[in-house]
Amino acid sequence: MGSLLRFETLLHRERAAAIAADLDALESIAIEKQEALDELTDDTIDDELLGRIVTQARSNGRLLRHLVDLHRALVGGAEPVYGARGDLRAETDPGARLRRPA
Amino acid sequence: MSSSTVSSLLNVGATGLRAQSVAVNVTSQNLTNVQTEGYTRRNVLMDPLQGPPDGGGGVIARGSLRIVDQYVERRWLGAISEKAGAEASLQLSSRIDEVLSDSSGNVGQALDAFRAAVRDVSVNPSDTGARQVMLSRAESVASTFRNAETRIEESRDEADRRMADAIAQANAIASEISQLSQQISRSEASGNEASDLRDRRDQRIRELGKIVPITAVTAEQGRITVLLAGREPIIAADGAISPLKAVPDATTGRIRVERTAAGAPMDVTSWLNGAGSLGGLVEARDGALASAQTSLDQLAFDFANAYNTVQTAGFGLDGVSGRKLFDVSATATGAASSIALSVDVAGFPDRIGAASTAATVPGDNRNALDLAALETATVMSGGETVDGALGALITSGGLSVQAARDEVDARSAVEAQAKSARDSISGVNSDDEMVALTQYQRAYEAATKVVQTADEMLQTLLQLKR
Repeated sequence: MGSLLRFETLLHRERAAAIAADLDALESIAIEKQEALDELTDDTIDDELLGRIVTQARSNGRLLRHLVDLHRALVGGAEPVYGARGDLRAETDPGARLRRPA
Repeated sequence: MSSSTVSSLLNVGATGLRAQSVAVNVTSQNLTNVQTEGYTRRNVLMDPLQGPPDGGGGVIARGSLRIVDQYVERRWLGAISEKAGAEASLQLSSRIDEVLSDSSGNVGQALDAFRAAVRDVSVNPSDTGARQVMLSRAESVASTFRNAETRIEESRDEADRRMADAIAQANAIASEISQLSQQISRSEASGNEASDLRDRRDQRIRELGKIVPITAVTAEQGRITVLLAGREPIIAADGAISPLKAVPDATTGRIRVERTAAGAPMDVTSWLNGAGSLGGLVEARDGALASAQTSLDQLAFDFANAYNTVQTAGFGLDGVSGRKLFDVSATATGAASSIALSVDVAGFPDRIGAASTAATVPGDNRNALDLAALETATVMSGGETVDGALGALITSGGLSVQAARDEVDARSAVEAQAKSARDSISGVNSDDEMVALTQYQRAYEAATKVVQTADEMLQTLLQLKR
């Protein structure tokens, strides 16, 4: 139950950091979220709280997408692909705006 | 947290990112123009937006700002003028070296041949053939003087023609600068960016600075005042141009530079002071070339008078004396262009005064020996021999050309230094710009990483939900 509550608190912090476009905070929160998720066991899960958390996480996801869209507009190019633990699966193409002219 | 608060906070983040987007554009533009001559580096002009309670806060990009240090720009412009002046002066002054080197060879050879002929007459004073050769060689010497003078005069004429061309070019550029200023003023008054126009205007100002020494003073509303030699405007702040004019001097016939202001012409030739190609041309024309011309005149004058003095004392085969060998101007001025075989003796070899008395002709060679002795006599101004004076003329010509070369080297070094100082402020450093772009790229990657991580965690949560 404690890990789930901690996860919920982290989601609130994540939302605030996303709104402020604070990428350093978001990266640090992502690590903490993963730690809280790793601590979860079947008997600590409360369905009602989990439902609330899923709703909040979806909402945060939309907000974070908006942030990415803004950054994509900023630099252009294709976005990189990362896994849940932050592992890079496909590198970014920086696009023409970030390339050094010949 | 209410929805309106969230919306407001979101806006703060979004305005920041939009402002950064402008910064990326500006950085990209800087990088694209890293090799563009005259391009001035831009920075983004960011303004904070009013925060709560009246506004939502955040930041807005107001456009880009050219990074310019007026003092450094002014120093560079001055150095450009000085360098252009030195180069124009050298280009024209080097003619002296060519003319005098060629002429010294010609005059030297002609002198040697003439002296040999004088010696032949002193050996055979009654030989008409030897006398004929001496007259012919005397005419050759006069002719080489005249040719050298003509070539120097032509160089000075060329300076006049190039000055007239440069003045026309300066007026055309001034007109372009004035038009650009009006465009800048209109563009900025309507809130548009005019950095490119300002770059173009600065480039034209530097082109004008290569022709005449100028100072550019920024005025209100993007306008500019361009002062000639830091004194009077040739482009006023309102865009009015006081054109320069090439006017032949009433006395010398040489081109003067005039500026018409308030309907009254003003001679501004002396303002140029060797700067700008126009100043360099004036400096070479009225300096080194004029000086070489004067020296050549003096040489021809002294040479002619030295031989005339001895020749007039001698008696021809007809027993008559008082005849000159050379006709030359009464004063040194114009002597090199006027020197010629005298009409007293031209076509009459028997009139060469080889004898020292009328009674001793035709065998008397004493006066011819005096003529031959002039070869080593110190008869020229400054106590020189003819050869010594000719050598001094060549040396002084060479020295003035060398001085002009040194001037170009010194001015070029100063210009390079001023340009380097300008580039360190206004030029694009591709490494710095790339660092900025890399920061934007990293931010993008971080944002992408965060959202994808969150997505995957959401999937995990959904799987936990039963």
